[in-house]
Amino acid sequence: MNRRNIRVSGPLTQAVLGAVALLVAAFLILPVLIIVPVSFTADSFLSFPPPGFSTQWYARVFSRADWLNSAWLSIWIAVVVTVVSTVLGTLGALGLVRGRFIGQRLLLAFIMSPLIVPGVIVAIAIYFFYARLKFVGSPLAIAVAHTTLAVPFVVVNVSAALHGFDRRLEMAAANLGAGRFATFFHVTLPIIRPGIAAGALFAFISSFDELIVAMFIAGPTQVTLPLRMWESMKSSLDPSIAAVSVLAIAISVALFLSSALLQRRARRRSGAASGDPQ
Amino acid sequence: MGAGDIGTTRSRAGSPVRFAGVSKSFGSFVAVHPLVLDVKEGEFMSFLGPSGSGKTTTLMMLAGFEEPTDGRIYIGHQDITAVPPARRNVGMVFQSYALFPHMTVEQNIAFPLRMRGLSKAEQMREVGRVLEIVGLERFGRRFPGQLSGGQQQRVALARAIVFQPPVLLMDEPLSALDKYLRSHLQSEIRRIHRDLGITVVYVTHDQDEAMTMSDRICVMRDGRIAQVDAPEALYSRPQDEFVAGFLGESNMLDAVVAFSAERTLQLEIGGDRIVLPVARQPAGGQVRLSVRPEHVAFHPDPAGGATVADVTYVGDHRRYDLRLADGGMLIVKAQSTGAEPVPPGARVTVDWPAAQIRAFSEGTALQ
Amino acid sequence: MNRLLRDPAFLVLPLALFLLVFYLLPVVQMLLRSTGADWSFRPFVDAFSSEVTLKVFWLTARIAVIVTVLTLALAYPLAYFIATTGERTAMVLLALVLVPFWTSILIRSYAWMVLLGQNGVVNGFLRWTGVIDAPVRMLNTTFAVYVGMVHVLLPFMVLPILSSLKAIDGRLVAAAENLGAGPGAVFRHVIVPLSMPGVLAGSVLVFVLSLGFYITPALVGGPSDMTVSMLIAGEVDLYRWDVASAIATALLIVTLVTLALFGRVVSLERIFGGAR
Repeated sequence: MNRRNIRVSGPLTQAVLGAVALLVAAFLILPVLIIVPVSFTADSFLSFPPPGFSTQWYARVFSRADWLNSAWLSIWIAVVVTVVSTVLGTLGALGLVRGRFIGQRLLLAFIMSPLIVPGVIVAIAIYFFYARLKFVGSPLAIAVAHTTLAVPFVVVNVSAALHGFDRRLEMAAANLGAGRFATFFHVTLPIIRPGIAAGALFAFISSFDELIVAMFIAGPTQVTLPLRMWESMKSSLDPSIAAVSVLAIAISVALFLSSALLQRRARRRSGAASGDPQ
Repeated sequence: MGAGDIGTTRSRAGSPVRFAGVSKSFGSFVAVHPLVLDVKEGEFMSFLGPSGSGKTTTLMMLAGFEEPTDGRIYIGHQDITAVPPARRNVGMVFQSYALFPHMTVEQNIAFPLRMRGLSKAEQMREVGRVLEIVGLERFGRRFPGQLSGGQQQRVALARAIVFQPPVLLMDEPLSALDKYLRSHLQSEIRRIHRDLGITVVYVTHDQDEAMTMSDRICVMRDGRIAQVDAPEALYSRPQDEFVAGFLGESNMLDAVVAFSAERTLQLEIGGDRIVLPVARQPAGGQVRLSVRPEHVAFHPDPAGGATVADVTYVGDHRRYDLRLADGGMLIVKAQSTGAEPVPPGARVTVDWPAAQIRAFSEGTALQ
Repeated sequence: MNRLLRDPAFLVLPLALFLLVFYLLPVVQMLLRSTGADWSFRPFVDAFSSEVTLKVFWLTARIAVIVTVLTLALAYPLAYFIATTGERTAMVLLALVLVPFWTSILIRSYAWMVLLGQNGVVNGFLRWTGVIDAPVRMLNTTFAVYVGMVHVLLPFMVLPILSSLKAIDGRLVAAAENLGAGPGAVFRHVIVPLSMPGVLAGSVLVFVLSLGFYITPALVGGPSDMTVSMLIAGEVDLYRWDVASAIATALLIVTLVTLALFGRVVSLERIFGGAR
C-alpha cells in the first residue's frame, strides 16, 4: 500500500477528536449494552440500577409458550427466507454481474429498492395483495414477503464477491478440461462462498428482526418474535422483553462473529491473491 | 459430456498447429487480419509484438476463449475451431498464472486430471511426476498464496503440462517476475520443452525472451504477421523496417540513391558513399538503411566527416553516439577491452559494413 | 438458440420473476388503488384535503432534515477519527458502529425506552448526581424521537463517510503540507472536499430512511410526533385502504424523487456489502 495516513491534526486536536469519537461510539453502543443488566434485574419492573441480580426474566421467557412459539416461528421463517433468498440472490447476482442486457441498471435498482423504500409502503402493498389472495396469516406468506426484503443483501454481497473475482480462473478451469458446471462448482462457487455466506447471514438477520411487514400480514396465531416484542412493549415495559432482546442480540452477534471468523480463515488459508509475487 | 474423452488425443510428442486464414474483429475494429501460419510439431513458436498487435487475441483463439470471425484452426489433423475450450486439450500458462487460490498446489495440478476422470492414485502419481519436473516436490501442500512469484509460475507450468497436452500455450508467463528469475525460468522452460517434445506457442512483448527461447518467432504488428523466421534470420535479415527496429537495436538512416545498376546501389549517407548489392532503384530516390550498432566500426581521422558526440561505458563494450556530416546520429557499439576510448569531439571516419546493411524502400526490404 | 440460453443474463430470471409477482405487482396494485376506480384520484383528494395529512408530511420532513444534520455532525468526527487512528483502535470503534447496525431497530428503540423512561437510567443518573430532584419527562417526546432516530441511523452516515475518507490518497495530504498548507488548510481544502461523496451519500441515505421511519417514533415519540408511515398504518387500521394507498404513493414519490435527484451518490454496495 502506498497509502499514507491522512491525519493532519496535532496530538492535542487528535486527543479532543478521540474524546468526541469515543462519546459518539459510547452513544452508539451503551443503549444496546444497557439492556443486559436490565434483563437480569431482581425487580418486578424496569428500574435502574437494578436492585439485585436475578435470572427470573429469562426463566419466565423460557416457561412461556407464546414467547417460545414466536421464537421458533421467527427462526423457521428466517431459515426459509435465508435458503430461498440465497439461491435467488446468488443466481441473480451472477446474471447481473456477468450478463449484459437492456435495462440492467434499472433491474438492479429495482432489486435493491426494498433497502430504501419505506417499510410501511412495502408492507401495506403486500398486505392488500395477500388479502385479496386470502394468503394473510400464513407463515409462508411472511416468508415470501421477507424474501423480497432479504434478497438485496444477498445480491449486494455476492455481486461484490463477483466483482473481485478474477475471470481468468474460470478460463484456466475451462482450459484444464472443466465444463461449465464443473467450473462453477469447483472454482467460482468456492471463491465467492464468503460473499454468499455474508449475504445469507444478513438475509437471516433481516428476516429474524423484521417487524413492519409481519405487523400487517401475521395472523393472530402466527406471531413472530419481533411482533410479540412490539406488542409487549406497547403495553408494558416488562423486563422479559429485555431478556428476549439480549437473546436476540446474542444470536445476531454470534452469527456475525462466526461469519467474520470463517471469512478470516478462508482469507488466511488462500493467502494472498494469485499472481501476487511476494 | 463424458469427461474422459477429452484426453484421447494425448500423446508424448507435440502436434502441429495451423491457422488457416483466421481473423478476429470486434465490431468494426479488426484485431487480427486473416492469418496464415503453420507451427510445426514440437516447435517453440513465439508471438512477438507490441501491445495491441493481436498476439494475445491469436493465442486466445487457439485456446478457445475468443471465437474467430473467420477462418479455421487445426491442431494435428483436427479442426478445433468450434471445439469448446474445455475439450481442446491444450495446456495454457496464463499471465499472472490464474492459480486457484482455494486449492493447494497438488489440488491445482490434479485439477485437469480430475476433470479427465483419472483415479486418485493416478492423479497423485502424475502430480508427483510434474512437481519433480518443475522442482517443487516439497511444496505440494502449500496454497498458491504462500508461494513466491517464481514458484507460482512453476506450479502454473506444472498444471499446464500434467495432462500431457500436445500443445502448450504461454501468455507472457514471465512478465511479473524480476530479471534474474526470468532468465532462470527461461532456460527451465526451454529444458522442459526439449524434454517433453511438446509444441509451444509463446506470447511475449520481450524481444530478448523471444530471441533466446524460440525456434521461430512470429513478429506481429497491427493484427498482421510482419515476419516469421528463426531468431538469427530475423535479426540479420529483417523483412521490413518495423522488424528491423523492433528486434534489437538498429540505426535507421536516410540515404539518397546516387547511382544504380543491376544488383548494385550506390548510396550517399552522411557525406559517405557506400555500395550495396541490391536491386536497382531510381537515382535520386530515398532509401532507408538499417545497421546494427555492433556492426559499425570507425577510426579516428582528423579529416573524418563524423564527430564523437558522446561515449558511454557499458561494461563489455562502449557505446558511441556519432554525429554524421549531414547532422544524422549513428550509434556504434565497440569492444571496450584494451582500447582507449575515443574522446567526445574527436573527428572520425565511419567504416560502413556493406554486407550488414539492410536497405528498405517504403518499409520493405530490398534484398 | 443454445448460445442464447447460455447467456448468464438468464440467471437473473428467477429472481426477477419472484420480485415481479411478490413485490412489484403488489406495489403497482397499491399505486392503482390510490388513483381511485375511475382515475378520479379521489383517494388523493381525500387524503390531502385533510390538514392532518399535510401536517404529518411537514413534521416528517422536518424530522428527516434535523435527524440528517444531527447524524452528520456526530458521524464525521467519529469517521475521521477511525480513519486516522491506529489499526487496533479503528477496528474496535468500527465494531462499536457495526454491532448496533446489526441489532434490530425494535430492540434499539426499546433500549431508549429503558433509558429515557421516568424511572429510566438517565433520570436515575441525573437524580443520583443531584442535577434534578424530580424525574424529567423525556420518553414520549420529540426529543426522544430525535435521539432514537439519530442512534438508529448513525451507522448509515458513518460507513459511507469512512469509506470515502479511507479512499483518500495520503500522499495528497503530504503534497498539500509540502506546498505550505497548515493542518486546518489541509483539512479544509483536501480532506473535506474529497470526503464529500461519502457525506452526500450518507446524508441522502439517512434523509430517505428517516422519511419512512415508523418503529422508533411510534415507541419513543409523543402523541404529536406522528410520521407519514404511522399515518399510513393508522389509515389501514381504519380500513381506509384507498386513502392509505394515496398517502403511501405520495411518500413513495417523495422518496424516489429524492433518490433520483441525489441518489447517484449512494452506493448501497459500500454500506451493505460485506461485514468487514
